[in-house]
Amino acid sequence: MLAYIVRRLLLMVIVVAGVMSIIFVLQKLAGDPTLILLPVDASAEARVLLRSQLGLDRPVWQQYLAFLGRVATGDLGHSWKFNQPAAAVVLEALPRTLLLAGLALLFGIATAIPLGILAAIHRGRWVDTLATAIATIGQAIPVYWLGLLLIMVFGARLRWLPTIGGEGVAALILPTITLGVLTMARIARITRSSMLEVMGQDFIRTVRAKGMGEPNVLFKHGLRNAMVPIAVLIGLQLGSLLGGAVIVETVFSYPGVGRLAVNAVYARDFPMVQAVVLVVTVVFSLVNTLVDIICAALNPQIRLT
Amino acid sequence: MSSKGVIGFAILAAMLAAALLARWIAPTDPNEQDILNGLAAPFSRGETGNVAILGTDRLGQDVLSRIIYGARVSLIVAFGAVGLSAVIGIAAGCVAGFMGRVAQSLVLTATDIVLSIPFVLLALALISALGAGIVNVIVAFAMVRWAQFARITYALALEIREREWFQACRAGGIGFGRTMLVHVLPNMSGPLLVVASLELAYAILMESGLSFLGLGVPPEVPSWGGMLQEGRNEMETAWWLTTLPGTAIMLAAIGFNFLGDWLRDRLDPGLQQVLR
Repeated sequence: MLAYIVRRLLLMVIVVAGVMSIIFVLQKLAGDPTLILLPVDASAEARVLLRSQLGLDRPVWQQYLAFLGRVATGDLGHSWKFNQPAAAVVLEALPRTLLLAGLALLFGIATAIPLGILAAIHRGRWVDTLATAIATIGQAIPVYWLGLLLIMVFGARLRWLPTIGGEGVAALILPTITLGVLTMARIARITRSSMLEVMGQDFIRTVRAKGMGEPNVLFKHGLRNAMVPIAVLIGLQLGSLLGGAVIVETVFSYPGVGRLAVNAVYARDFPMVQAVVLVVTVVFSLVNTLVDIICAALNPQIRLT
Repeated sequence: MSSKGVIGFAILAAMLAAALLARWIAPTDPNEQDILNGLAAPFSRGETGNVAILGTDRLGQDVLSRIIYGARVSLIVAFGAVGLSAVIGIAAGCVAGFMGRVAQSLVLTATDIVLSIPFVLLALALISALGAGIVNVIVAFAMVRWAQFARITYALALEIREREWFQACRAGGIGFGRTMLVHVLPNMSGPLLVVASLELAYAILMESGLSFLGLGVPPEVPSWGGMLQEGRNEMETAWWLTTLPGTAIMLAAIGFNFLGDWLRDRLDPGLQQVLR
């Protein structure tokens, strides 16, 4: 087990280093930052001076090492737009994004598992058709469009819920649903197929034949055995939730890291963009590593592969 | 053919027809403005007596024509992006599967790295470095999604490596490139087509999302995501500007998803395992 954890942590370090290298390449591709930092009519001497202050006149490999060093010490660059360290701005917005992603995941799990189970036990009936339709649409609907539709119906027409830039719990409802629908669709689909597979097996017939009540058969034996692929899929959802948050936050003007990144792209504030990508990737890798280690602890087979 | 297959093919055929025949079937030029007839509701008769079947936007541009032309952007970006990711990913997957342990761990580590960055964020970083535009959207997609193709190709390669016909090819002295192109690739085509189909749906959603954010296709080119972006400000008065382009995007994604599902169900069970 210890060997597995060490290997997994090592992989995480490699992944984060890889992401940093990608960011560095993009930074170089972004071109000369003095064009943005200095006014258009700045003198050539001023540009040369700033370039040497930023260390841009050194060889690329030295710049790369300096970049790695700065990131390792938590310096993710200076936001041109906010005029303060980018890391501080990102870390301030991060909890709000994690809250939204967490709520969306909860919403997805809480709706999808009952839906998937109902669809599996009523296979071919209307519940099944409904669940399949929801899963099909949920996987194909553009999240931002769903957000706009929800704003249109519940915000503008019915005026039940705050729509854009609201405060408090009510303002979280529409973004949570919007972000959670894709997760719901995916989990519902796998819950249905996994339950169908398990419920058709011999041991289910055996416990039924022994006279066990149907709820016990369903939950104690059915769902518990069907949970493995469902749990794996749930663990994989965080990445798409963090990615989806970028768009959902923009639609609802929700002040998380996603909106920060999009606004930074508009403002050509590259240090901000790179800080968001780095921080989110590190969080994502950490969670993934944790999920993998938990899975390995629960299922010894994984440790061997 | 299953109903999923039929629906998938029908949607794809309609999109292809719209994209290829746009000039002939669209009622007007998609960029022709008619300010006096702006924000006309679907089927309403404008000042000039023209009926805009799906209404017009603020500038009086015909929504139906813009949706028909928008199919072009979606298909060009989707096929470009998925094509590029497939070429890179399949090549990388074959290298990982057939060229020894060092190549294998290099490629697999690279897929781990790119797949651990949320796609939208990496696309944002790339676009903020290179600027918006069709080509950059395609590059951004391929930069991440090649990893999906590489993983599946690698899994298929592991199976093919053990097959007798493959070992016969090697023993018979057929060159590596020829073995790959003539013998290995055709045997991988089924699962790879499934992946490609699902990736096409994903690419359409991503392109429209980036265009919606104003970071994809430039505004003068009619695109579904761009239309949504413009319609967003008229949501309370002109519902058709929000609902119709979104429906087009969703139908396109459903079409490609159905096609992928149908292909997967048709594959032989051994290959289906790999896609799990």
